[in-house]
Amino acid sequence: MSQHERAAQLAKVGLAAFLVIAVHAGAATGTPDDLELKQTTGTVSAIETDARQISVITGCGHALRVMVFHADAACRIEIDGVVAPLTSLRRGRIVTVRYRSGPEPYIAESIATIPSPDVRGRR
Amino acid sequence: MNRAAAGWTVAAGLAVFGLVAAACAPRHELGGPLDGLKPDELERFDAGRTVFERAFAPETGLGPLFNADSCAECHEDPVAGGVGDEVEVHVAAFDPATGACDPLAGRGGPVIQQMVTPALKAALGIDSEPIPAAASARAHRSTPAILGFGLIDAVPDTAIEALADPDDRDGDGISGRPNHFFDGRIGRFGRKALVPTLREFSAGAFVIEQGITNPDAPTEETIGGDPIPAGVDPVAEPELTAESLSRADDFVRFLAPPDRQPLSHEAKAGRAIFESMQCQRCHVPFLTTGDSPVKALRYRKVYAYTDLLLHDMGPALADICLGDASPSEFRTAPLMGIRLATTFLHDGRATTLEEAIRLHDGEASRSRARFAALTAEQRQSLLAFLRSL
Repeated sequence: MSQHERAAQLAKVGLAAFLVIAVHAGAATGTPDDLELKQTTGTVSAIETDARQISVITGCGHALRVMVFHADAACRIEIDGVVAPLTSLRRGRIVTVRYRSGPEPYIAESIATIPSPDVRGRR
Repeated sequence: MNRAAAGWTVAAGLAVFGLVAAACAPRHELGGPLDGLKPDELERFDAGRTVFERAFAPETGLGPLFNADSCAECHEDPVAGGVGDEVEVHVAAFDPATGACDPLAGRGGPVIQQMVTPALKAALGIDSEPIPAAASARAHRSTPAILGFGLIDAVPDTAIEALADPDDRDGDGISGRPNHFFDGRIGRFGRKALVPTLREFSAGAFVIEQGITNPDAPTEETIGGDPIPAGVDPVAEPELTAESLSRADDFVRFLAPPDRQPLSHEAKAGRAIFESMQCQRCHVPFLTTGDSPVKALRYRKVYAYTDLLLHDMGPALADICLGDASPSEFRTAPLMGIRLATTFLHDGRATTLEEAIRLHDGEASRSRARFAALTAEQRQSLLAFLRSL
């Protein structure tokens, strides 16, 4: 094997190693596009506009859970069908959130209110 | 005999046979399956009973917070699916000024587990989950029978909505309204009617009562909002398979309601009194199920004696809020199988049916007053009727 061929082979091995490391690094950091897109519906229990985070009560039966979502500038927020800023969202609204799985706070891709049920007779 | 006459004779014979057979039909075994289940549904019912009765241990996922080690530990008397003497603790924070209700889901609520595994006790030195400081009220909840609840599950939302009269437009002092889960669906299960479906109630109960995670409820409870210490619960999630969860759901859904007892002369008189007292305005005698993939659940009358709506029961019974339900609002308790109960009302504070009726207030205050005005004989008749359910 000539010195030229040896150099080319080393370059190939190096490139392969780089690719393997790059793929693993991507998985470890969990870039949003790698994470599964999920959806949940629940009631907004808290809004932190400075941190751009909302808390939503969801759950199964009486096993209730609070999920925290980060809504960055790219997150589409619709209130009653109209695009709106996070500051317009109110506690108690029912929202459907599409988000990326991963550690909390989850990254919200969209937040949309759904009509609230009729609670006439509220005491 | 000509062919027509022979046909009528056979038809008449069959009719008589049918009437006799119906009269002599064996009554359902308490805790048995619904009539009309297919063989594969009966197999699922039997398989589900095994899951319902399975006792979990820390090595199989129990805890680290829990109230019981199996479904049947609480729903046990006189059969699996029956009543129990366990009383659990629920909490919430209610702001009367705004009507806002916080179920304290982020701080371990609304269900506060009364037992811990040895590993959690060793790690934190606690014997039960601490009550969150933010709780404005705590409630006790007794264990009801769940026999026949699959039929309640199969009642359409529209049937519940049709019974609602939130603004009391008919002026009878009774203004039932549905509760809603946090995603907006109509609720029906639980003393505050928060939970929309029986499967969700069961899946959630596996976690909050036994600490058994499952595909529908995949995360453990927190300890007052704090995560479980590392190494305390080494069993991987979910601790119950999708198959086992579905079988447990089948068992509960397919449990037959308790047979109503034949009415004595006294009980018949009591039924008339029940109606004259307007009890049936909330304790609606029957609901009709809707369409269902299970024939045994499809378009059936269920004599549940409830409207599945929230009613104001007055300040003396008030405890926690939950969903849309204010502290004093409770779902009309089903009277189906009330003869099996040994304590009454949502927290078991009444030890007799008569005491339970006397504790009704709010929207039921008129009915309570009518009860107070009954003669001793009439009261006994009413109680005889209730004990037939």
